[in-house]
Amino acid sequence: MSGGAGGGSITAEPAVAQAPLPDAGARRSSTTLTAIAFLLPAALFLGVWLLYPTIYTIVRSLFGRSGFGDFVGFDNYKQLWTNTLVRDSIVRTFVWLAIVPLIITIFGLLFAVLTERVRWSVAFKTILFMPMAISLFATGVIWHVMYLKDPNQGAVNAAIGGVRSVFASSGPVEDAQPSTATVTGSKSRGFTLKTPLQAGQSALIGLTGIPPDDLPATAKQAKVPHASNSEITGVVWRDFSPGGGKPGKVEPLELGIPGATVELKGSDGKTESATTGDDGSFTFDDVGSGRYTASVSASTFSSAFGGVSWLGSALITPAIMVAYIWVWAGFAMVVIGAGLAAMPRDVLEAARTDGATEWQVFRRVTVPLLAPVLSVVFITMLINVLKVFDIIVSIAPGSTQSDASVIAVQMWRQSFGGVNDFGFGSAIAVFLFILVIPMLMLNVRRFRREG
Amino acid sequence: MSAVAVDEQPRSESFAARISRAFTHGPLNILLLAIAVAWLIPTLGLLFTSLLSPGDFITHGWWQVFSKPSLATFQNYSELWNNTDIPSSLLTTAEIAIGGTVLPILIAAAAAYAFAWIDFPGRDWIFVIVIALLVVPLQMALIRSSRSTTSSASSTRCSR
Repeated sequence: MSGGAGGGSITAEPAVAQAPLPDAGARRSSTTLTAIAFLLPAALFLGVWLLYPTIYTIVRSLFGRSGFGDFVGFDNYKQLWTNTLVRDSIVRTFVWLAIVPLIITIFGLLFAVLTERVRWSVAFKTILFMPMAISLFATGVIWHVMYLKDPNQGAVNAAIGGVRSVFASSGPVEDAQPSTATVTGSKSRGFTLKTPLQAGQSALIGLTGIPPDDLPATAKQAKVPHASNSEITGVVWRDFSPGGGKPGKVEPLELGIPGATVELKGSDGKTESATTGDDGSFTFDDVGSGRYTASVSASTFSSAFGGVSWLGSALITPAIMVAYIWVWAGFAMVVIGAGLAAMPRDVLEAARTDGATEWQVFRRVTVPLLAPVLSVVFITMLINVLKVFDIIVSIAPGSTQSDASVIAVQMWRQSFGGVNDFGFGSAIAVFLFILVIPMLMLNVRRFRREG
Repeated sequence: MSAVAVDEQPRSESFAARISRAFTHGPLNILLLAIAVAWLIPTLGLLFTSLLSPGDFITHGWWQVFSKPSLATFQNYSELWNNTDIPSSLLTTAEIAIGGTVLPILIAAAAAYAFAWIDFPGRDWIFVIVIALLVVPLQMALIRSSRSTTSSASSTRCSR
């Protein structure tokens, strides 16, 4: 509101004070009157819209929810620590303060330094600054859609699913049960053949309860492979034929399960694995004389990528932080870039002439010279992060909003969003103000130093 | 003829220089290009989501507009045009944008003049207070301001 007021130019010596005139007293009072006339509109605005409400809030925080008749002293402030929702929000605000301003400042610095070396720096800066032109609430909506869990809707999960499918394909079937009691287990643990095997034997691992159309199209008639003396072979098949069939027996029209991962565990603890062919058969060569357990591993039944729940309670705060950094890194870059442009180039040249590497120039010359600008960006971001509000309300769905909430959100929730306890809300606001005071002092000091 | 030759000379040089620069700064260019693309994706996502009908939005991601251009529709925009709430919202936005720019500049310019050019008692102190007020969280003013304007604000909204 008072953004432009002052403009930091108290450096200019007032002309009037330098003129010692005979009627200095009269002059002085007249200039004071002029000053009052110039300041009055600003003072009125600040008083009515900022100073008076602030004092009101401080006083209101000492009263209970029913109004000024209900004096409770510091009870509202005690509640800051006893109300777990608010306490968690305070802790979360500190996590934000510890992480976000630093990352934004570092990103801004890196981007500002790096863009100086490319020809399309204006385009780069425009792209990075663009999020600042979108309101924080709309940003929240954008990122909410980006973070949707379904890979068909959320771009982030679609990207992860795309990368994942390159490295780990989903299993050939989604669901199955053992067809006879000779096989135990479940699809999450894998299916194991109860009877141990020896070289020369064939394992029959029959599964049923497989959803129709779930088998890969390449599946062929199941076949029990012959096992020579040094081999263990077997078949993993769908033990179900249109007529029903007999459980535990490979019959015509029963299909093998291709692509199933079979593990053979020896009595010595060693495990080998093989993948079944189109007819469901598998072979282990050169097995020893011990006893072996055959099982179909759970990865056979791993379902397709369902999406990371970015908007779930565990990841919601980091997810919002990413969106917030996306918004503000451009701002940091532009401010730091302006500082960089104003930096004396000859100092950098001198360092390079003296044989400093680019990294040394950056670390020992650029960063120290930029320190004042970096601190301005950092402090501005601290203040902004303390007040972060709309992006949280717009990204977090109702169910996880309390897992994402910070002080400003709680202040709003307790006073307007349902609870309607203006006393407690005021106390939260005052607490927020107290947190801002150190930064306020830094601000004042900076202005005085410049003055 | 000679004019063409003169013209050609520097262009071919700068082209060669450009290529050599592209090679020396190749990795950096690629890195920055990747960052720029990553930064653009959410905004592009917003743009392409706006082209999906509500039904398609549930089953399709916005990136599928590229492989299936038939999904794109301007239905949302025509609805926006026909929505009667939008003009009044735009008017409110304009009021806030213009009022919120012109008033502070006028008031602040006057105050800045006083601070810069007039010597009055307590100047520095008042200035420090103004600077201090800069960081007062909006939340501090929210409770009193909202309660004093709630009744009038709701009545204006109803009358519109």
